[in-house]
Amino acid sequence: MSEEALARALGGLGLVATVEAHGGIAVLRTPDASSLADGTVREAVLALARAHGFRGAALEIADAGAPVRRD
Amino acid sequence: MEHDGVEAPSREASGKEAALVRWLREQGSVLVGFSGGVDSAYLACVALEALGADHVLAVIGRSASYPAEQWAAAREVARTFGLPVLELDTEELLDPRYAANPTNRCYFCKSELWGRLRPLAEARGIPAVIDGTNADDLGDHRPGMLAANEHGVRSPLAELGITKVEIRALSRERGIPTWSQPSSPCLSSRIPYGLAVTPTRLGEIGAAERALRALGVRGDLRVRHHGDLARIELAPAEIARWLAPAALPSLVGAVRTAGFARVTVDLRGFRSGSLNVLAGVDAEPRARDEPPMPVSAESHGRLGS
Repeated sequence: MSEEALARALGGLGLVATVEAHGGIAVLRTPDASSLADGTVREAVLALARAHGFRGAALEIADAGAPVRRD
Repeated sequence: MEHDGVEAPSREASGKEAALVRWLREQGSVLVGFSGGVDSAYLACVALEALGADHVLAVIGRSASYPAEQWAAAREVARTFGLPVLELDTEELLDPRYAANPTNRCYFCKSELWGRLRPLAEARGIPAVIDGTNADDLGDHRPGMLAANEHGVRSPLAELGITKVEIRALSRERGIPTWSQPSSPCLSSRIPYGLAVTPTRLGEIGAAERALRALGVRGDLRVRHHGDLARIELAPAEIARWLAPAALPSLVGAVRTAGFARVTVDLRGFRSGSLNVLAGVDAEPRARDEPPMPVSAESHGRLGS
C-alpha cells in the first residue's frame, strides 16, 4: 500500500486528496468531497485504491463546521 | 407476481415450507432461539402454526452486544403473533476469549447462548432446540455454527434449503412484518478482529447508529469501529445524499456525539462481512439478498436472525 502513489493517482482523476492508510483502508481527505457523491467517481477511486493495495477507501469528514480538513 | 420488489413465494418455496411444517411436527415441541429478526421470526411463526402455543417456546438471549431496540422488536413480533417468549441474559462479554475479539469470536458467544438454552429445553422437556440459520448462511464464515452443532442445535431452514429470498417472500405472504427488515448482526461485528470488544465500544457503535437513524439514514447501515475512527457504511443508494455538502455536518456531528474523534464514510457503502474481508478471513463478500426498500431499524443476528 502506498499512500503517496494513490494520492498521485487520484490527482490524475482530478481529485486532490491526501491518503492515510488505516488498516487496509485508504482514508482520503479532500476539499472536493462533494465530487464523491457521484457514483462513477467513487467507483474510479475504489478501483485505484485496490490497484494500490488497499481493500477499500473511505472519505474523512473533518468537522461539523467544515466539511473537509486540508493538511 | 412481484410486490414491493419481493416476489410472491415460488412453488418450490411453498413446497419447502410444507416440508418445514412436517419437520417441526416430527419434533413434537421446539425451543427457538429468537431475536425477532427475519429468519427466526419466520421460523417461530411457522412453528407456532405447526405445533401450537403449548409446544413452542421462543427464547430471547439478551446481550450487551445488541442494542435495546433489538429486544423491543423481538417482543413486538412475539406479542403480535401470540408467541410464548422467555428472555434471559447472556454474559459473553465476561469471557476473555470473546472479548479479545478473535476471528472465531462468534463461537464463544454462541457457546454461551446455547449452553444456557440447551439445559433450559431439557428442563422443560423440549426435545429440539432450533435456530434461524438459513441455507445462504452455510457458505459464510460463521464459527458460531460449530457451537450450535456442539449443543445439538438444529437449523431446519438451512437443512431444508430455504434461502433468505424465500424466507422474505414466505414471511410477506404470512404478514410477518420482518419480511423487509434489513439484516443486522451483533454490534461486535462492527469491531475489527483483534480490537477488544468492550461495553464502551459497543455503546459508541450503538449510539452512532441510533443517531444516524434519527437523522434519517435509511436502509442498511453499519458504523465500523476502528479505534478513534468511525467508518460509516451506508446503503449504496444513500451515499450520494449524505455526501452532499449540506448533509455532511449533521453526519459528522451525530457520530462525534457518540464518542468518535474521526468520522469517515466508506466509498463503497454497506456490504455484509466487510471486516472479514479486511481481516483476510473471507474473500470479497458475495451479493446478498437485501430487501428492496428496507425501512426499519436493524434487529436480528445472533439467534440466526
